[in-house]
Amino acid sequence: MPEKVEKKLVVVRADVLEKISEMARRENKTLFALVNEILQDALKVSEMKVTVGDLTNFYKLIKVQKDSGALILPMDLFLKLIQKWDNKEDLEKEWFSAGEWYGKYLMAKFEDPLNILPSLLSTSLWHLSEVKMEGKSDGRTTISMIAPNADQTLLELTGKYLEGVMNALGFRSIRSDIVRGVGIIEFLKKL
Amino acid sequence: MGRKFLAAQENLADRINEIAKERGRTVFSIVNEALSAFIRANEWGKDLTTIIEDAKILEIARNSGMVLIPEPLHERLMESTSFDSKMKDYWRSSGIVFGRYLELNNIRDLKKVERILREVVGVNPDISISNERLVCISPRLGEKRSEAVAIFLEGVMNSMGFGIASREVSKGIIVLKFKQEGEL
Repeated sequence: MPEKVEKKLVVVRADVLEKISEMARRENKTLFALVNEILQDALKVSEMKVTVGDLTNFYKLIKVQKDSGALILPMDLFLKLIQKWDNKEDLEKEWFSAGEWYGKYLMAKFEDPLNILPSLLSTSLWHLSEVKMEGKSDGRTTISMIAPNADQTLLELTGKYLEGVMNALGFRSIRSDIVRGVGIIEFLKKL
Repeated sequence: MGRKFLAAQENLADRINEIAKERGRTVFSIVNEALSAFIRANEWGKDLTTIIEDAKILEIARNSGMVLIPEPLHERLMESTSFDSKMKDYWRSSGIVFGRYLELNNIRDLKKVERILREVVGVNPDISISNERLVCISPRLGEKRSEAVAIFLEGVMNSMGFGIASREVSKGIIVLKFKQEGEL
């Protein structure tokens, strides 16, 4: 005889339950079986010290990056490639235009790209320990980056990339201050 | 917002209750978050288990010191730098380091390695590892990048204890035959 499974009742939002019941019907599963599968997944995620909501958001944001043609590359290798490039000014132009393209991509993909940009930046700029974007009522926007261990050239190039992104989104850079491990770039909305 | 009761396996409900206490959350918020994530995943045409697995792989890539960079930028960097023996050494040692990182995280199963490499190598490559053969097909990889990726993959396999018995690399196609170190 199969072992009896003990059950417990948990409280959930009625609208969420309705959707899950519908999905269980579609998948030809019992609601009990589907819910247990989902909870098992949630428990697996909690072992990683994150929530299932955080993880799905992280996945979605990285997917936006990968769909835009972002590549994953070992950092040390990437730094070697940068170091081999002789003309820094040219390199900065390349980063600026890569950022510009990305800004245009966001404009095409999202109705309000400025709204999703902060999460995209903090999820995808893996070489920074912290990146923050703050909009002010006078039309100024500040992006700050913190990366105590990052290569200075890489930090400066990231600044150029961000200038390119913001340029495509209708902002011009009015101040860029990037020193060891910290960068602040201020933007003003273009008229 | 209406609320309803839902039956769950007792041991799972108990574990969630413990987590809620540890993290200062309510069981209600944790369960709703999980169910909502499942609904969202379904709307994206994915199942939650796959998303969790993929997100874990991306975490592995991030924690192992990788960066996300725009592909055109990488292409320009590759075009403008000579692919000399030093550069090849960098690609190989990056592969070795990544392979070591996988090993440190107890990732030795080649099917899992295959899935991870699919996420971290190139743009949507079709990578398969079976019968002592690693095949990577990615039409968007140019000749130079195909060679670079092949060297990186060799590094990964080497650090996992496999020697390369033969290699065929052409634009967008890499075939590596490997054997356990010692069998070569």
